[in-house]
Amino acid sequence: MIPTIAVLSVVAMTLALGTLGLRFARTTSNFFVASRSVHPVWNAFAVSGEAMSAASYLGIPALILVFGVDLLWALVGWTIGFLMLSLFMAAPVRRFGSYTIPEFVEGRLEAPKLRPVVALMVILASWFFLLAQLKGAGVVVRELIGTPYWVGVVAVGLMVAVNLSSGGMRGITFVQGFQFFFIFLGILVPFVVVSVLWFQGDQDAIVTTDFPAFVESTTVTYDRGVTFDLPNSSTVDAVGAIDGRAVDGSLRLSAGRHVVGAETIITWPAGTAVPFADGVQRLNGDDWAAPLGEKDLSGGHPLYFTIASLIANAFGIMGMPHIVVRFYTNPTGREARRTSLWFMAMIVPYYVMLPLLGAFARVAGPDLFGTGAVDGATLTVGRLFDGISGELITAVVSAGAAAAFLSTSSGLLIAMAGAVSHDILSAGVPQFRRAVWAGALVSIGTGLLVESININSLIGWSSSIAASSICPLLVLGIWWPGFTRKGALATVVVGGGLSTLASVITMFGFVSGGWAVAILGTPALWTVPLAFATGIGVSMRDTDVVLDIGHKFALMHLPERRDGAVIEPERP
Amino acid sequence: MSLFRSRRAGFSNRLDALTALNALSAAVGRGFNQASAAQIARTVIQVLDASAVAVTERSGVLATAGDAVDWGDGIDERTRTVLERRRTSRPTIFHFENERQTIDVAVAVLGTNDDPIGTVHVVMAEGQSCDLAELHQLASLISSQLQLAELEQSRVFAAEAELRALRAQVSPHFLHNALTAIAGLINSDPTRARSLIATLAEFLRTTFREKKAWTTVAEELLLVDSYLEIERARFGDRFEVRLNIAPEALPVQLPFLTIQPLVENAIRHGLEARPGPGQLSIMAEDAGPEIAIYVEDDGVGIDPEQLREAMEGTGETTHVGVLAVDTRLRSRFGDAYGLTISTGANAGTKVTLRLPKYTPT
Repeated sequence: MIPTIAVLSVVAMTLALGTLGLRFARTTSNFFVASRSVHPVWNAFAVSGEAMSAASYLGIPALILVFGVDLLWALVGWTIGFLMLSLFMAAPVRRFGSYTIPEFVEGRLEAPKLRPVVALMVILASWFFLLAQLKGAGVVVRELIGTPYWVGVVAVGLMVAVNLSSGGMRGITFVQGFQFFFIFLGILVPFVVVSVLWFQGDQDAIVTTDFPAFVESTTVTYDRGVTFDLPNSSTVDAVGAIDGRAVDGSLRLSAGRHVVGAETIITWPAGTAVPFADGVQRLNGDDWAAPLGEKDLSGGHPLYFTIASLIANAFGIMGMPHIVVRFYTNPTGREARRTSLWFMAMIVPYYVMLPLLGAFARVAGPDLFGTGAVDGATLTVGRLFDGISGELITAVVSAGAAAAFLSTSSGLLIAMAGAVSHDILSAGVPQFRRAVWAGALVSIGTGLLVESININSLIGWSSSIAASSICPLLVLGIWWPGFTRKGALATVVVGGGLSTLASVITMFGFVSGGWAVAILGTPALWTVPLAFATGIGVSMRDTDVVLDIGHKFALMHLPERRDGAVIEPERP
Repeated sequence: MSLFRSRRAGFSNRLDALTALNALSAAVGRGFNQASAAQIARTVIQVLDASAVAVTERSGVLATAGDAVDWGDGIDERTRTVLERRRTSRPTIFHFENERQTIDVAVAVLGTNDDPIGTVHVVMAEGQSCDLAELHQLASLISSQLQLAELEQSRVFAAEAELRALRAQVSPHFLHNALTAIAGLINSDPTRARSLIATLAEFLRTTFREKKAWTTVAEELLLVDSYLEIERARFGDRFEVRLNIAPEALPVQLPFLTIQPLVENAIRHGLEARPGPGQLSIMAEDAGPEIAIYVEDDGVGIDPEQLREAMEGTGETTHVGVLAVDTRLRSRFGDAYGLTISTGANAGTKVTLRLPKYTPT
């Protein structure tokens, strides 16, 4: 009950601040107050709210729960990406003045025809990322209220669309700033209380070094039908269907594989080694706590996975369209850089605390191994505490999750709708609203289909596409004067095309194991270098030059005057 | 993708020809410069199936395309010759040779008879000759496009000039009112009078600074503030100002003097004529890749019919400032970004303007 109230209040706050945000922000008769730009620190809150998504909040603990320490590299990858974004992209992109990435490409390369092509990449990358957020919404609502998965997806998708299309983005910088506090608290509170428990010496109650087992008698609802592998035989209470037979009452389950029907409820006695659903790898504590080994990452190639996802995450973040646009709110490149510095100070502690929730879930939520719904791992930490304190912690964590998927969904939907209405069709506010609805409906529809796909797979595809198309366009466009139209087109076709193709093949399950899964499932390892190489190679052989390149580079790289005005270099 | 179309492929169908010409008129629409000259050269190659093309202005080569040709010093001479003869009626063929090559160059003039602005030099592939009639037609087409661009340019200049004239015309009136109001305050409230004079000086300095064509929403709001400060000296508490500014809108670039004329219009033609106190509200909203700005007053309003005629250019109006802003926005951002005005007699006026967050320089 308390967690549901917490989530609803985050939703209500988002709607209220979104609609009234303007009044809250700058309603005054004082022009000096009204024309003062957003402080870099507050904008950093907003960037953090945008960047701390359901993908990290729910996705990382889920993967840590199953695979252990290998996934720490994913966080390192994101951190590298944000650092590179801060150092190499935030200020030049802001100084150039472009709002969307397709606009930047058009302006930098004088290539209006490339704009819809780049917009398509923006839409693809945002769409996969948005699917991950909606998946997160479905999981959180299901865990809290027990509704079917689709309820959360539809409710959150519609809510974000209604909010954005009815003027809810009036105070988006403020709303996302507030959402940051909820997200950060959602991770900080469990971290602090569990640390207290740890230093009180109750360490066994928090982490396990053995195969996970039910600590106490646990009732588990299997919403979806599942096949699991039970290590030892056990006497359980069950209602529903097991191995094709209807059951209602006490039952002895032998060790081995069992097919459990949808909506079956099983009560496991304390001490039972937990069953593992198909597709969830069973690792003992030592293997879990050591990197690499026999882990089922990228079809059994954990080293490939580590390197490829490191590249996908680092370069993908640099190309994620909804992050770059937030720096536009800063009036100058200098302020953008200051924002990015503060932002690093906020995201790094978040990334340090976050994986611990996955480790706690091995004790707090061992039933997730059997249901296969590992994306709920973050939400289980409250179960380490009894009674009201446990509920309060779950409430804080759930509120953080809601803030995470709401802020990121809004940002992504804005990026998608902007690309459709502004970069592909003609501009206009009504057009933008229609595009918001189109984007939301398509995402809700596809979001319903991804229940069985891990949040992190969706994120991986999104990152691979962004890393192999948008990121090279931005990096080469900002830092290499020799980058040309043909080079850019080749980059998008080769990098964007191949990574999209690989993701689609994996998504529809055309590959089933071994190296094919590795190479197509996490394609960034080869598509990113290929995209950069193609862009550089084609540009070098291209005789066309971009006119006025000196002017454009001066615009991007020279500091502005203190009042924000650009020192206009002489045009040739 | 036309980016990869072979240079020498010529036309497979009429559609390609039309596409090339369309791209040409779009490029030339922005005037005769390096970029449009490059587009002209590319189009001429495509249309005439030439091997190399150079486009010159009076003083030298602007752009070349096609095979590498040593245009040599001869090109300036040829350009001069053609331009001086003013033989725009017919392109001329020059025989041009140096130690490495011997080529025939067809040269046509761009621009009008009275005002030639450049030339186009065409070299055909080995064994082919240039159809002078085709070249002539193409050069005339480009010339008329250039003339259209010039016309458009003068429309923009006219709008700029109108705005400047408006400033010059309004200022004595506005100055007189402001000074009278300040004079009334000098004895009763010398501190306020002094600060008003400082504000007036600052306002005039900013307004007459013509060099800077662009400003940000934040700076424009500060200009509006000093304007209102002076108006308040005259009107006292007769109108109340409300601001609703989304911080996301503040860094957006816009032409200098866009919001201020709208505010001035709201006061002079809306609130001044209204009996009793009125309200002026300025709002700026974030809308993804664009922002929307609203200037609204609850004054006497405008007759919509008369306004429509004035905006279509068929009628007269006193709201010249608003019209000038409208013209400037349309010429900078395109017709989709013109002003939207909702008004009625005694129903107040609401002017809406949209701005893209990014405008290519």
